[in-house]
Amino acid sequence: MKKIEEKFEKAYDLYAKDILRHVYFRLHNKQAAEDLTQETFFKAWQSLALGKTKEIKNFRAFFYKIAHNLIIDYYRSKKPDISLEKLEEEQIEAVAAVAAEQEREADLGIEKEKLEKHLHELKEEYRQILVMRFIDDLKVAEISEIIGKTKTNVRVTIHRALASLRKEMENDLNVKKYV
Amino acid sequence: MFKERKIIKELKKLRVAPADKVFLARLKENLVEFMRFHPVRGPIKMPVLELSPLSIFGGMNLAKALSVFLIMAVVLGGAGAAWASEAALPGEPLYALKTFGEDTREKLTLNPQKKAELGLRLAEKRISEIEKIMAEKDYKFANVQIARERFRGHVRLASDIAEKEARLGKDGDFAALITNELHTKQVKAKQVFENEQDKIKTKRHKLDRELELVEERAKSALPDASLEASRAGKLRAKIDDLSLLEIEIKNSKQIITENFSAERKKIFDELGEEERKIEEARERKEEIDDIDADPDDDGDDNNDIDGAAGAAAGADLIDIDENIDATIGNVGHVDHGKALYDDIESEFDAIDIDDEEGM
Repeated sequence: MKKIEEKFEKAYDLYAKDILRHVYFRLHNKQAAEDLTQETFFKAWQSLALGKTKEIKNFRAFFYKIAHNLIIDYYRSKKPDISLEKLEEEQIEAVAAVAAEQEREADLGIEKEKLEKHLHELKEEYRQILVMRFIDDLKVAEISEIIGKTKTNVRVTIHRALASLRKEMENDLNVKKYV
Repeated sequence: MFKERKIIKELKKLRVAPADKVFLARLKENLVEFMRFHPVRGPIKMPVLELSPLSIFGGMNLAKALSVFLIMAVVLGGAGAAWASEAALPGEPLYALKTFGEDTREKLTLNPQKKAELGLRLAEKRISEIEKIMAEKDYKFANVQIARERFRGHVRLASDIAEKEARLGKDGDFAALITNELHTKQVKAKQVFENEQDKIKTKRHKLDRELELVEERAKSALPDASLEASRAGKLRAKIDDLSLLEIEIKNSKQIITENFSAERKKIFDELGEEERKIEEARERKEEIDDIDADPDDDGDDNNDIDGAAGAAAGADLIDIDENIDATIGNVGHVDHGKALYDDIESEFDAIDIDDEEGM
């Protein structure tokens, strides 16, 4: 049994950072991202301990799937009567975090903050696919397994998501940089 | 499409979003604690998982990461691999790494003069490699060829640079120096090959001489060998003859045994037949005797009858006697036949006495 623990710890070392980043880009909220990341790994181990999962073929896909489901639950559970102040608070936090990152990213072609903002303005389905494909560098087959859709569906969604993101950016005043 | 590519490129840059290391470390501690309190009970199939050393390159693909690693190792002059490959010779696994390092160094050297000097140094290295290869006992000439080709490449490079420098009138002294050095290298390389050629010639001469000696020895050994072979052949023929003889003897023995058995059986059958005849004759004689013993008998007629019967019985017995003699004569020393003959003879004697008394 110690071997299982060791392997799980190794898998954590490999993928924890990716999961945290993924959840952050999906939620655009640092605190929520940390909470969900923690929950992802605890849930993963729990499913092994309770015998719900007897085989893991791919640790990465395993963790991403759990994180993805948690994100969906998060959006579903997000109460509509959430106070505007709380929303503003969250947005301020998000912007502050991005600004802090921007200080370190001096030579980007476009402003990272704007890109993230546009990314966040996309519908969740498009955002998740772009984050998984281009930021997490997951393959189409892996994405298909995580979200439970066909590879063709994934490819089409990627194409539509990119078109949608481009449209968002073109609508913005900084559209000239892309022409 | 172009715009989409740019968007994709920018999205990929977001990969370098920094992660909160403190948070991740704290999370790991909590997770390990949680795992300890909630152990896994049954067997779980898990994939083989190794921490990739390339993870330090943070997201580069394998080919790029490997190139970066090699270039770093070569250019910085560090890394055990670069040092370990220094002594590698053509045909050895690390030689590819060595030559890759040299080629990279060559490409990164932009100054023509330095490049030419590097070429000369590398040419010298190739000569040294060729000498080391040819010093081995059973070396592959293909490996020498590899080093030789690279030597030519270095010489060509240095020569081209020198020629260009001279043509452009930049540094005539330098061009002349390089040309001289090149000439020296080529002479040295030629010397190395000539030495090897002499060594091979000597070796070959020695082998030729050894071959001659072996041939002479073989020739002188040939007559003895032929004689031996001939003797061996004769012996073999004799053995074959003896084997045939043995078979013939065996067959003859079998035939004789079979014939003897058949003859023996025939004699016994004949003796048995004769015995039967004697028995019949005896019975007839007894009948006749019984008739003679009858009181009502008047004499002559009966005597005639008796006499005829007795004579017939006697004649029968004589015939039997002669037959038995012939049979025994054929058989020779058959003990059983002889004993039977003795019995019969005593019977004869018994019969004669009776006849005389009856008459």
